Amino acid sequence: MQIVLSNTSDQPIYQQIYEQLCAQIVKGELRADFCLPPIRTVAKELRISVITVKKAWEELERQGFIYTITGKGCFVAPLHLHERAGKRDDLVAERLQKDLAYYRGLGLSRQEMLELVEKYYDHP
Amino acid sequence: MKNLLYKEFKLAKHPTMFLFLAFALMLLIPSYPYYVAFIYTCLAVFFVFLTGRETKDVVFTALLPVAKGDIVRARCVLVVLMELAQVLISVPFAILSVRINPNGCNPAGIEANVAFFGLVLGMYALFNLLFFPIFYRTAYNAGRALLISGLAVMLYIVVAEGLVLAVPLINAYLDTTAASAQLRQLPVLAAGGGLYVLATWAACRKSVRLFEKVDL
Amino acid sequence: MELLSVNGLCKHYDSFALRNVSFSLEEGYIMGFIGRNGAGKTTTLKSILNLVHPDAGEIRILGQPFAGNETACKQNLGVAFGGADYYPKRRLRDIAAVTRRFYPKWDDQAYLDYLKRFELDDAKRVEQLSAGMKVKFSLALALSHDARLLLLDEPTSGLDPISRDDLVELFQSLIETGERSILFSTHITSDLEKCADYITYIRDGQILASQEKDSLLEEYRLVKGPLALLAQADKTCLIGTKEHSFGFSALAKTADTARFPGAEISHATLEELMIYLDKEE
Repeated sequence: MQIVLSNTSDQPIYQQIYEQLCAQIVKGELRADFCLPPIRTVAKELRISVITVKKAWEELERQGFIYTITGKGCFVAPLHLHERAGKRDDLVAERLQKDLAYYRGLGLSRQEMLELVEKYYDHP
Repeated sequence: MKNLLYKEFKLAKHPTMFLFLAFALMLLIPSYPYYVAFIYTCLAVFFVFLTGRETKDVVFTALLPVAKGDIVRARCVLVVLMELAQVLISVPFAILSVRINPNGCNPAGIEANVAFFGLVLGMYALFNLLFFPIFYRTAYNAGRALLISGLAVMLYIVVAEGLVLAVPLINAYLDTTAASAQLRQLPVLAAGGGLYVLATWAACRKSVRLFEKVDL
Repeated sequence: MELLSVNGLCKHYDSFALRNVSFSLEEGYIMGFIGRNGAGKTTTLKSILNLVHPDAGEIRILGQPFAGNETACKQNLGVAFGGADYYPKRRLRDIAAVTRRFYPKWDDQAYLDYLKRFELDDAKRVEQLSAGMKVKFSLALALSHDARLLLLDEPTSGLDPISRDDLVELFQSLIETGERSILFSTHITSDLEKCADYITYIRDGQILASQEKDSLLEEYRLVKGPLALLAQADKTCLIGTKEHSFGFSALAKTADTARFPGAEISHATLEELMIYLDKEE
């Protein structure tokens, strides 16, 4: 499990944690039933508030990425391959919509956009 | 309370507390106003309160798990111990003084006899009665407390010594170290002791109430 | 369980008053108590401890009313007032020897560990310590009797950044078990930016906000823009507006940011929140 927080990002900290863990779960880096470390330990390690971590965990649970066993902790939900793909697409869609709004704001046409994607996809 | 007293002796003590005890030796001086030896205790008490203020003793103590009132009570007990220690240490020197100095040789004041110790307790009673409540009204103004109670003590001594010197009847009764007179002077000692207990108790009670309202 | 609850605290002075101060702290969290100098942080903390006699209000420690249970309540408290240098001529070990007697739960090993962690030599006298060392010593005393609630007044001021960072880490490990809470007042808000779960913000004797830090920070945004924008903007939505020769900056509720098209909108730090909110009447 890896979490790298950015201070300069416009995203709230809990959102950063949520997205990074989502990505790791979707990619299968975090296996099903992997036990997440206790919230308070994560808070201490990352030097952030307990409530922030709690919020990220709650969001993960609400979206079905993890499940809780009272008294034991939180675990990565066992997701089928197609479920993982579905959740991945959800994440992508959410992010893409925001980004596209930004590009539209800059006046990019669909064609220009697609050309740029073609151009930079392999050479970011 | 035991812990608070331990704190008083470990942290709030002042060197004069012990140094001034040695002034019991003054009782051996053939001609001397013996009250002086005991006035120094009042000064030592003042020093304890003054350094207490400078070392933030009150705040430190108030942060400990103790009731606010106990802080005052412990300090009163400390002062009582200082005063009683001074009296007790002086007793053997008074006895020695009677042995080496002829009776009635002290033109400077009352002889160091049984009645004198009663009067000293009376003096401490007056001091405590004024000093504690004046100090604990602010828990800060030790100087004012010393000034007022010190003046009262001086006045007390002047009146006591004046009566002994000027009124022949009182002089004959009190200003003697004759063995036969000592027994007759016991009521004075008892009265002084009684007054001391009563005044110190009242002063402590009042101080507790005053200190409760003080903002530290 | 609520480790601390302050309810309707009032204290009137000639030139200053605490007005109806109320907030509470659940177990397992860190609450930052912020406000500018003289806003009433220390008076509030002193009122909680009955060092200052409040005119009205109730304090509860672990659900127990403080009034009438002073001694029992204080057993569960660890208190450190920054800048308080008690008994300058006394040795640290003597002060510790006195303090330990008052706490049945005093832990000598914990005390020694803190001395080591803070690099304190307890043979030294208080007057030989630097300001930061004094803070560390009072923390060592406050932490060595397994207190459930720590009340710390300016514990990080006077400390260098490395010591402050070490302290924040210590605070977080103290609440890791979820049984302890820490209330600490400070005006170095960057320490809170890291570790605080809740923020209580006091201004001029009144609590302006007492809530989750994240939600407080989400509530406001910094708005910056050219003066022309300010001229046509709805100023009622701007908080603590500052104008300079080349533009303006202000705080606005996040929901109101849409009213300022073309303005530069960004997250505010706690410090910025304080600066702008304190300007607003």
